[in-house]
Amino acid sequence: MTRLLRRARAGDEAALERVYPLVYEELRAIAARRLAGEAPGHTLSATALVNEAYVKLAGSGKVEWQDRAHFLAVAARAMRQVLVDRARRRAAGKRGGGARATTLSGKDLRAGGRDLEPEDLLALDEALERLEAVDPRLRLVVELRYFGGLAEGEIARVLDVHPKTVQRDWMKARAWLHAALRDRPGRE
Amino acid sequence: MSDAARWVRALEIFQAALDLPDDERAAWIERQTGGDEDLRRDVEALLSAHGREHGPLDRPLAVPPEDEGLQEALCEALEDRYRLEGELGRGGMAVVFLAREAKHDRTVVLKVIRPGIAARYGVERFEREIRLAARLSHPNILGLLDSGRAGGLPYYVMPHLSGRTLRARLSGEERIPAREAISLLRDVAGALAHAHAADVVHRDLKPDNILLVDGHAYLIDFGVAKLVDAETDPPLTRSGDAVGTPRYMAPEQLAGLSGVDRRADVYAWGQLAHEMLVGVPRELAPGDLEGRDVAPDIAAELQTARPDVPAWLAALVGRCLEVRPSRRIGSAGELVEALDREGIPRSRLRRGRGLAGAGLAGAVALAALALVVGPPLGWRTGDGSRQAVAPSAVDGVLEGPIAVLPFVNETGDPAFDLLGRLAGDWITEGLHAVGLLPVVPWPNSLAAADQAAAASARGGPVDLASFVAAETGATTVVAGSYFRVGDALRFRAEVVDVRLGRVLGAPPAETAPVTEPQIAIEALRDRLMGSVALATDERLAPAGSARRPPTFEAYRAFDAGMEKYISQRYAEAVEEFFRAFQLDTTFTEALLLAATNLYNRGTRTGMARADSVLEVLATRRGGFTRFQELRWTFLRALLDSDAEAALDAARRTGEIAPTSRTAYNAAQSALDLMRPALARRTLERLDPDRGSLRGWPSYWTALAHARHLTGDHEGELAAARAMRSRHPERRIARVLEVRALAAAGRREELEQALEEQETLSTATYWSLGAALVVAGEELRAHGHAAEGVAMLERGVAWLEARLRETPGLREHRYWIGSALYDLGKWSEAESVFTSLAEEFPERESYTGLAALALARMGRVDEARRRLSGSFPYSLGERGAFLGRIAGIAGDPEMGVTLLIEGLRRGIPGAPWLHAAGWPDLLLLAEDPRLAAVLGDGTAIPIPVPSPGS
Repeated sequence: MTRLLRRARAGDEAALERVYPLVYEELRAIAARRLAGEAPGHTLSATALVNEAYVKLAGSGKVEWQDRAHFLAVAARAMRQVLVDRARRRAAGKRGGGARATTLSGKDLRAGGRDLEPEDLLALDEALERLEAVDPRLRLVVELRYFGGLAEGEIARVLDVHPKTVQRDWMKARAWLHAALRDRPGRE
Repeated sequence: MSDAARWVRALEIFQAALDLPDDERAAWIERQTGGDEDLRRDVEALLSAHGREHGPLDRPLAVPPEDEGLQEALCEALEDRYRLEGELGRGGMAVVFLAREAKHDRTVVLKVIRPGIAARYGVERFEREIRLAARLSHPNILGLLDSGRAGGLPYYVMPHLSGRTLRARLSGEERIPAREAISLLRDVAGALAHAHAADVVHRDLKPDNILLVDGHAYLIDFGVAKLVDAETDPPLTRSGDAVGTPRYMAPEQLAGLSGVDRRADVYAWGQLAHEMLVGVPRELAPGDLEGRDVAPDIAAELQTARPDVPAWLAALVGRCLEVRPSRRIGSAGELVEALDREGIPRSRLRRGRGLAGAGLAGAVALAALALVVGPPLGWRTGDGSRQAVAPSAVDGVLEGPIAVLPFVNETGDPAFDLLGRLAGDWITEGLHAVGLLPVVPWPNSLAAADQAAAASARGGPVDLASFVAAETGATTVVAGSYFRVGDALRFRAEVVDVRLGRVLGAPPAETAPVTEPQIAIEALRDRLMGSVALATDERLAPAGSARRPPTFEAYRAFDAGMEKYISQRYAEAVEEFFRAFQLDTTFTEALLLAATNLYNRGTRTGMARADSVLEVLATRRGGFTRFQELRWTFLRALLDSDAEAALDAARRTGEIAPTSRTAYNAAQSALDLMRPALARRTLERLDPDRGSLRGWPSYWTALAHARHLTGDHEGELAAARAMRSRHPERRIARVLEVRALAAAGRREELEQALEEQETLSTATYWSLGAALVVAGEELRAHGHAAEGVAMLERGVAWLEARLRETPGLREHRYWIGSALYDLGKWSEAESVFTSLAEEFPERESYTGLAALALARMGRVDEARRRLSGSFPYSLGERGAFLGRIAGIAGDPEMGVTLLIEGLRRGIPGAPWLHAAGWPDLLLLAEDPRLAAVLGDGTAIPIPVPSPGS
């Protein structure tokens, strides 16, 4: 797996495809397990989950993790997918019920409405795909920082760029995405 | 330039622009974009987005609790009954789904505990919530439709109402007008008062838990409600866990003090009022804890903030928000009283109406529901002259069940007596059609009124309304009377809340010619239905009001039918009911009762006719009330040999008419299905000495059966003896007593009980001979084979001697045949049963028993031929006979399969099967499923395969 990760780092998409499911499953399992034991209404930080997956997989002895950042690069991608899959299911659930005022509103119950709504997350996911067309590195930076919780220095190492570049990329990506999401129909 | 290329360029310009001082940016961008408007717009969008602070990427990314796989697991477990249509939300404890209930094709809300919570607290807590919710039945509490476990997780089902929470309403901009607030607060207080009366404290009352639908408030979550009685029911909430919502929590609750009681809900109600009126719940002020009364301050603050709030309401809210529970208003009931006193003035009910007066002609009553009926009841009226003046609508919160009293005849002419029953009956029918609250079935109200008359005759005035309410469990009654004005009759009625002693409303009196009183009754009924519908739900137009009461002539026949029905003259009752229907072909109730009586006759022809009557009724089901619909379904299921469906219909009838005998019917169906524990629970919850079960001997028979099958022979004996003391004329009580003693192996007492019967009449079904045979069968089944055989021989000797005194007596012959079969005298038994079957072809069980004996004689094919085409309306019984025959023929596997199929459809008489069928069950014992099917939920002896076989 370590070898695969290295190849993934070198841009070998096929290698990435093979590591990816493992990490994805691990994240999903951790999320489900952790949430089941948590207090009502509790949510987990994505960064915490990614780190836990790292500790778990690295400690399994099956693979050797020489570079945490490279694992996190894959994990960030997987985390994005885990969250998007969840959001898609939840949004589907909501649509299934139709747009109606009902006994309990999901919004009322979620803690303070601070987290992203499923629809917001799906929109963000979709915008990221469009950003990829503009500048693939911006997409990567967002994934690593937002979904993987990597620090700028770590991102710089994964991408082999100067930390200053990461900072600028983030600024650009953030502005672009927020502008793109603002244009989403039906918002604001 | 493509979109992507333009964006790349825009991002470059954007980045560079950020490095420039603000005042140079615009010019620089202008230059860089060089007149490309799209590009310039993109750059500006980026800059603007850059400056905004709260975009999605600025929020922490969290993984929401998804309860992975929960929905899938639920779908699987609920597949048949509910289809999940989407998630509505998730609370601390549960996930809430919108679902479609297949059976009733309606949308419901399904609440399932979250797996993590189930693991942490145990399902116990949640199931307690369900049990609590099940105890509550109030128009302003969203009730419980169903509950269960799916995939190991407890769930429950509530009605789905479209509306929004009070929280959502409060988040809106506009203020709630004082009048509306009072009305909503009254709804909430009424619901709380009901819960408090049931010893349930909500503990988590808040705007999020209140649903607003069409101007009414409904409490929707008793999620953390807890029994007041902490001693018998220790709180499950872990110490330190905050239950409730801080600002709505009473100070003592916040402090985690023990002994949180109803007054915590009163506090929360005060906060609710405060937030509705002022916009926020009240904060505790520093001086609040100093010990003085804070109510006056709160009231003053409230009125300053909302000058339109009446002083009484401000004072009331203040008194709810007192810090010390002892200074607070004591209960939600007091709130209701205060709100009704101040908010909505009402007329008062004159109390102490006496009952006296002449007895009326014709004994009438009872039991449209139970399939066999109790003794006839005399009927007396009260004098009750009174004046009813009130608003025309029922303007209170109606609480079911509602009962209609027979109208009082004030004409002074006994010729009009029957009209009082026609009015009561027909208005009851109308209330069933409204379908918004449980209604006491008319026969039960009538029987209770009769009890009131009897009590009154014994001494002292009795308040008819209170008496009937107590007897039937009703909280609200409709009381009426009629008198003569020249050539017209004038009917009037009022709706009375019995517990509060308050007239909720009275429609204007209705007048009709003496020759056509039903016109006035119909008009009054429509008005009452409308009022009740309005009081419970403003959206609803009175349902079914187009239907007319029967003509007077038709009702006269109907009444005669009822009388015959009660005295168990089913054949004659059928004729009267048919006549009533011929006189008025809109009178479907008469036809339904005709079918009931046909079924009760228990003969094959009777069943076939009941079947065709039900088919005729099927074309009119559109006009049925829900009550009629369920009774139709019950009969249909019985005739279809579908005991499961019958049980379901009986239980659902019980929901809308909780004080009827439907619970008994349900228990009977459970016995047919060999589910004695369910039957027992159902029966033991009922009060056999009150209301519709008073004087109902079959209750005790069923209870004795249920206890026998669950192995509680002490309890069985108690039931038999209770029956004997209440119904000494019912000889079956003696046999049940003997049966319990035999099963318990208490042989001395058994002998004594048999001895006591020696002086009793002999020419009866449940004779001493029957007792001897039953005792013999039980002794043998319960491990006393030799004594059992001796007892059976005694039985045959006794019965044969009596038969010589009354030759041909069917009853004795049946028991002789049974005992001979038990003793292995196959051919003798065969000739007894074959001759009975020939003489009484309508009684199919003789054919079945003859077939068994034939099979024993080795004539299996002939036995099967005899049974072919038999029992078309009792396939369960047929399955049991065919199964026994298969066992006799040496095919235990087929035998048990048929028996299982029979039990699935319900076997009338199933409680007797294990002992009476013992020799045949022995032959089936090889198949291990026999023990599984008979032993599941029962504690009866099951034959085991003999070592040699």
